[in-house]
Amino acid sequence: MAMRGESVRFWFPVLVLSALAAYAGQKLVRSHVDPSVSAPNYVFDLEISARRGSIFSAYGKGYPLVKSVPYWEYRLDPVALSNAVAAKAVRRKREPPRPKNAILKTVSDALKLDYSKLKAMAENTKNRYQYLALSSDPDVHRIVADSTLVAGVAIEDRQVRQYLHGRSLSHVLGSLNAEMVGSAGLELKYNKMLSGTPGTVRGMRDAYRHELYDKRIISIPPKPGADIYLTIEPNVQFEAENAVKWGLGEYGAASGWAIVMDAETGAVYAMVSMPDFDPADYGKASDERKMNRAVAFNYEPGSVMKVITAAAAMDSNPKKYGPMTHFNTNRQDPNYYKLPGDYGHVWEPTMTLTDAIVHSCNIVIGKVSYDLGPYTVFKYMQRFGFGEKTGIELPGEQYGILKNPHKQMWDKASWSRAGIGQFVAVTAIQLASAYQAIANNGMRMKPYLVDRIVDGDGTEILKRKPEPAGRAISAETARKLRQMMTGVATPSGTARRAAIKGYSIAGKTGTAQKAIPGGRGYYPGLYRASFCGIVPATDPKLVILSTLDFEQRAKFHQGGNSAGPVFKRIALAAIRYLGVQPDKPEELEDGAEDEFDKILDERQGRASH
Amino acid sequence: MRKNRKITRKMNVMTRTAARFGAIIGVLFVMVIINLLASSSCQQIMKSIGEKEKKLASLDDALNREETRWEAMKTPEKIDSALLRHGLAMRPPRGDQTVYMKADGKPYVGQSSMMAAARRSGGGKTARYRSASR
Repeated sequence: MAMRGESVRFWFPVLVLSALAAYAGQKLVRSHVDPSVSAPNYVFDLEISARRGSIFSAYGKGYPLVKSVPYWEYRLDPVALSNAVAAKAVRRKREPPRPKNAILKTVSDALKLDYSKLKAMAENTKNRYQYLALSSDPDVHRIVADSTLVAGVAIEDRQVRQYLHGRSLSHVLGSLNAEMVGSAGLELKYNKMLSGTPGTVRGMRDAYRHELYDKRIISIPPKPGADIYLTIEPNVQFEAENAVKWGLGEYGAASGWAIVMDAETGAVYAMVSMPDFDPADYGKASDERKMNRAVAFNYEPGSVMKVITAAAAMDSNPKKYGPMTHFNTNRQDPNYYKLPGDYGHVWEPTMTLTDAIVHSCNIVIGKVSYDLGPYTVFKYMQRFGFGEKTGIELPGEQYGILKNPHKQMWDKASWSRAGIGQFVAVTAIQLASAYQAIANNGMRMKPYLVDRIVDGDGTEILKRKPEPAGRAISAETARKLRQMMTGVATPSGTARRAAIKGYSIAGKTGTAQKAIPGGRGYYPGLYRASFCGIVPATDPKLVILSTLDFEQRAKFHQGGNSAGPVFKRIALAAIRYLGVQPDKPEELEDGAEDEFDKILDERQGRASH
Repeated sequence: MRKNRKITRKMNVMTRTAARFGAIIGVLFVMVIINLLASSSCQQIMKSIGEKEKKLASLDDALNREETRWEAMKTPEKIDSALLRHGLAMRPPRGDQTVYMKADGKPYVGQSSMMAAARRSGGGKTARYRSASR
């Protein structure tokens, strides 16, 4: 017992002392080898930026629209070059130092820069780190990063936002500012989700500033940003952009916009606003170009609103108003106050509501609107979504202008004007959404662009389901209305140039005078031409809106003559790419050349055969 | 000869103390060596992890760059210009050239392609195909 007690008394302090001595000894030894042990200044904090999420089209992962790509930024440091850093590096490898000119020649060849300019930059030693180029080419990097070939060029890793489709869809995708923060479009709307969470490293470095990996205090990896999947069909988008561009050139319009929407769900397949901008160079674009006219521009729609008035009439009082209800076309009717005119038209004494839509008769629709009164017209316009945001996932969406007669009395002249698309202002997306309600048997769906959002770790954080925005009209009224509208794109209607063989189209033209700001009437001879159509009318699959905005007098300023053909081009492409089946197949002749093929031939400069 | 018990005890104590001191030094030495070896091996492993992390990141970047390069070539605009450049008249298939099938392999009813096929076969349910000689 005595021996055991003595042993414990001896060995316990021995062990404690040994441990302390080992720790001190190790510190002593390491401090000679590793300066970070004795120098707390070598502790560093590093924020690792997270990869910004990508935006994909409806085709998914294989079809990105925007991606963050690692690039190398090259900057010239003339001082470093002059100090022959290259020579030092080369000497270490026991090779003769390269002359300055040879280095500059290598750099100019690799980065495809003008040699004389590069030489001038190298002479300017006052200005260090002069920007040379941004490149993602690994071959270029291999040359410039080779210290035996090049010196005085600083290389920095950078994430560059690459818009793979160029200017296409620029208003929807938006852009980033210099700090890589979203400044427009979806980049702005989903900036937080796309950005991800940066990681952190707190560790130590040695005297050569190399990290001592075993000395990492904190290491939290970055969480990449979420990926966004859109409903946009890139081919339809491309063709819609081409169609609007074609319309601008063909008819001399200053701007134009178009929307292609799923008739059942409200999913947006294409959204075009011209003029557009280069998202990679957002800062240089003018405000005029930056404006997304499809959602952020209020305008008087004109006759495309007649359909809404007819819908309000037939839905609110189906006994009084039907497709075949006759109205007299006398403008000087004493029962009405200041009816709008139909300049240049001589009508039959009476006209049905269907004919008023097909021929776009202001007098008849004005009368209907007047009879309904401001409260009913307002109620239905609200039901169709006018005067409020549709909620589409884009910043800057406008409300439109729809005065509430309960709060603000409507001028008596506006009772009839509202029915023909004056006195109210709408956005293109509101208009397309209203037509979508007609196509979807009266049920308006919230338009949407974002199909799903997938987190950086692969978890689906949002899956968009079609969401009803409310019933605008009954299914029966919607069906009748579509039937009435099929006459517009026929030889007797206002948009015969919008007709497509094999498909019935329920649409309406609009030729809206452009209002002078401040409510001082309209610009003489300046119009906004629109056509909004449902394809096919019997089993609606698509709603397509096209609008051309004229800033000077044009020969074909009418909706049917200018916006109609643009609509047709978009519809032909959408039908082809989305596999929409014809509802009048008997019109399609075997072997007859498809009109879309002709358009492709025309665009590609080939003679049609 | 009788041993001096006092001296013997003193020598025993000294021997024991020296042995104990030696043991302390020995244990100390072994612990320092073990510690140094362990920490050096750990450092090596961390260094190699760090290098591999860097390598992985650079390979990830290279993959991203390469994928993007290929994806950028597949945009409708690029395909269109490539077709034009090579003088190719490729077009997306027409409705009457496309048969949409259900999961069970049967075509959807009412397709223009099926109708066109029926028309060509004179109203029959299956299409007649022209022989190559014609």
